[in-house]
Amino acid sequence: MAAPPVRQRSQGNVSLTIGDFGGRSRVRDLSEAGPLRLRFPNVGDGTLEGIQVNTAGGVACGDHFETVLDLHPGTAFVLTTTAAEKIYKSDGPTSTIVNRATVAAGATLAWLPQETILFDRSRLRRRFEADLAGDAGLLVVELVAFGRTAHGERLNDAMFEDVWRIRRDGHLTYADTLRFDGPIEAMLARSAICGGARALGTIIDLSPGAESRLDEARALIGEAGQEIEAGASAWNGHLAIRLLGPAIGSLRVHVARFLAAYRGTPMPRVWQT
Amino acid sequence: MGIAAGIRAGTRTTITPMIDTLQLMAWLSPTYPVGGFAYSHGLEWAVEIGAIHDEASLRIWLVDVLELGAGRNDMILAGNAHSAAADPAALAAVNELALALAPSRELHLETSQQGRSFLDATLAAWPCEEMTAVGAALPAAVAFPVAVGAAAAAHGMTRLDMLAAYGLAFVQNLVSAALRSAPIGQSAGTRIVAALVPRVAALAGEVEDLGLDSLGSATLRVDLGSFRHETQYSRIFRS
Repeated sequence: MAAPPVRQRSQGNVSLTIGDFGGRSRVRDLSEAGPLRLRFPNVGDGTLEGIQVNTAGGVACGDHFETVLDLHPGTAFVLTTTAAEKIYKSDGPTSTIVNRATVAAGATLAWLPQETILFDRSRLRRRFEADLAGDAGLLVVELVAFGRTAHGERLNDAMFEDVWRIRRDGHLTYADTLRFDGPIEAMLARSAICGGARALGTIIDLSPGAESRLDEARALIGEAGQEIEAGASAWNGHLAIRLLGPAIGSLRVHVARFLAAYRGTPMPRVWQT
Repeated sequence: MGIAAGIRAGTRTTITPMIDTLQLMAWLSPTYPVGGFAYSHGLEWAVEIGAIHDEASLRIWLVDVLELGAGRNDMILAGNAHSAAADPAALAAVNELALALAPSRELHLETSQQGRSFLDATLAAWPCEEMTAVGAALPAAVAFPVAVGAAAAAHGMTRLDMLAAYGLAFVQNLVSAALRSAPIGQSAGTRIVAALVPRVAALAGEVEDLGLDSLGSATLRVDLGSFRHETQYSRIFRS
């Protein structure tokens, strides 16, 4: 097991505005600071895709990262990350990641980062806030690995807080706060918490018409094989899917397969490696 | 001095706190017309898949739902509704958050149907000026802990007593659901309630002054189970 890099705290900021240029979504403004960078690969089919890169190679010891997206009316954007986000052991301070998105009328955002891997003794508070116009669309996926499952790592003491607040027309429509603090390994085993699972997947679709896709989503997510437990529900205009599995590898494959079918388009190429 | 005189004088004699206690017992009793018996908060799914099958597995499940799940969150929401009862905008904001936090269709129904029923019943049977204001501040959909917390404040009850009573009622309702759906007997259920009473009291004290930033849960499998309960073959509960 390699020791986490020793370095100073870093602060990274990305702020991106997507505009409509004659019917095509293009970058209108972009500012980058610290180790956060955005790349825009040529996808070929006209989709505007952004890949976030953390050049520090991970998050540790009180780092603060913030990403702000502003989608103008009628635009479409797909955001992903270049690799899994590793949350290293902290010597005390809690790191923070804040993601904010404003999605204007008729615009659609697909927020498809790769998985977050929590190392033992990591401390992370993450916050995702979105403001959607009445007919704006948002699809979000989050994958979390509780420990490097392939290494058999156990989270004996760690802190992970994940706050989601999504508003439509100024009113809160979806809120969730996940908090694991302390001996996470022991918590995961219990039946009301994870039932022994070590990987979590959450997919929320707040696109217009999402609620009516429940049967389709259930058919696609299926029974998810023997080892992955999955379920879907739809209410208040949105659709939610949760998955729990023993390891991030198989869960990630399953989620990518689901999203490709559900969105009717292949996953960003960085997901396919 | 009789009960009526004590209330008329507006004094906090020994009689008035006793009335508060009795009122809380009435509001949170299984006979109060909110239909709590129809909800299992995902427990029926846990029984179906065998995660709850005896006294020990039920107790572990309930402790987590109480301390790391909806029990604690509901108590924080009820406490904040109690503080905000006289401020219509703040109360509406607590309610909006409480409803948005419901993690599934069935759990949204569980809290919003009981909240509306509780508010209507309490407005009808225990009317007062402050209750009318609470009713006016809230929309048609009301989260259950918000309705209880605000009504308790409108009637001058202390926050701590209300939170403890809410927590115990939450536990008792789930134990009752377990007795009806799992091969677990009355005496086991009673032992679990006895074991959880000190935990409810401690939790009420712990969350009494917590703000909304302290909300948070770890009971992912309750959420997932609630999703799965929607398509469960055999079910007697609405959640």
